[in-house]
Amino acid sequence: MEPDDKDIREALTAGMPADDAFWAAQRARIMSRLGPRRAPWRRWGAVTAAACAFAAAVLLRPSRLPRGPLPPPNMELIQNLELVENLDLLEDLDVLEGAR
Amino acid sequence: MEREWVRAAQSGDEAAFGRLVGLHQKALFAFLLGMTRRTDAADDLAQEAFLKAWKALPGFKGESAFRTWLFQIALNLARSWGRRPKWLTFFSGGGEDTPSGDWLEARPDTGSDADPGRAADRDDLRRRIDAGLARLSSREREAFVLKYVEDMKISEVAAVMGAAEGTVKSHLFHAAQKMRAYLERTDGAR
Repeated sequence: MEPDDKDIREALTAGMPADDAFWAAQRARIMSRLGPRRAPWRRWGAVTAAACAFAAAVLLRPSRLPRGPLPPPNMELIQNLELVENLDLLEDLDVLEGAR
Repeated sequence: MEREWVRAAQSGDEAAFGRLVGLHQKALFAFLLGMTRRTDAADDLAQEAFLKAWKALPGFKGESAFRTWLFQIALNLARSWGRRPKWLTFFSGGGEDTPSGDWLEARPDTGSDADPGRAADRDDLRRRIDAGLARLSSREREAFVLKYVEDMKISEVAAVMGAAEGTVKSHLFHAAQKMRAYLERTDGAR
């Protein structure tokens, strides 16, 4: 038996409720679940408000650096640095090279 | 008339939306039944599609027909349903989600043949078409169901599927080839 378009359509839709009551009940179920919907401008308003709140939270967050008076300088480190600068090692090397 | 209902529903007229539901609910159910092969799933997804349409209606620009837009929503839902984990079937009311002969036998014969032999032939053909459908890829099945159940033009099938017309033609060609091959093979096996 060679199927035609009608056979195929029938096969695909077999099981469709034939009772009008089914369709009325389905429609009633759908209608009872229609909730209030937001207007598009209200949706965009909510998105903008959320973005502003996020930006404010990022900008106004407390800094991770410690606040208050700075700690005293490390005098030992400063002295070592001055010593290295005064050594002027490159100049000494040039003198040694010239004496050869 | 439909355009007026759509416009009224967009501005919140529930009665107008109810008329749109009445106009499209059978076609949408038939499409979802073809896609899911389960009446309970078709019913759930059809309701879900209408509720999504209601919420999204203010943003509907009318660039396509309302039916096309509604079927796009339904197709997306059907695709998600198809991708759901199999274990969910257990909680959603049974494991009859494969298009097997058992599933078909549970359905009433909607035909009107007085001849029992002819009715049996047609029933057998239905069973084979149903099983053949399971052998199609998901995109082939979508195109096949939209074309044969809804009798949509290629351009509308393409719009619903979000595919090029050439792609839809290719899906339909392969679907028909596979279906014909399967029917011929099973015809000899009876």
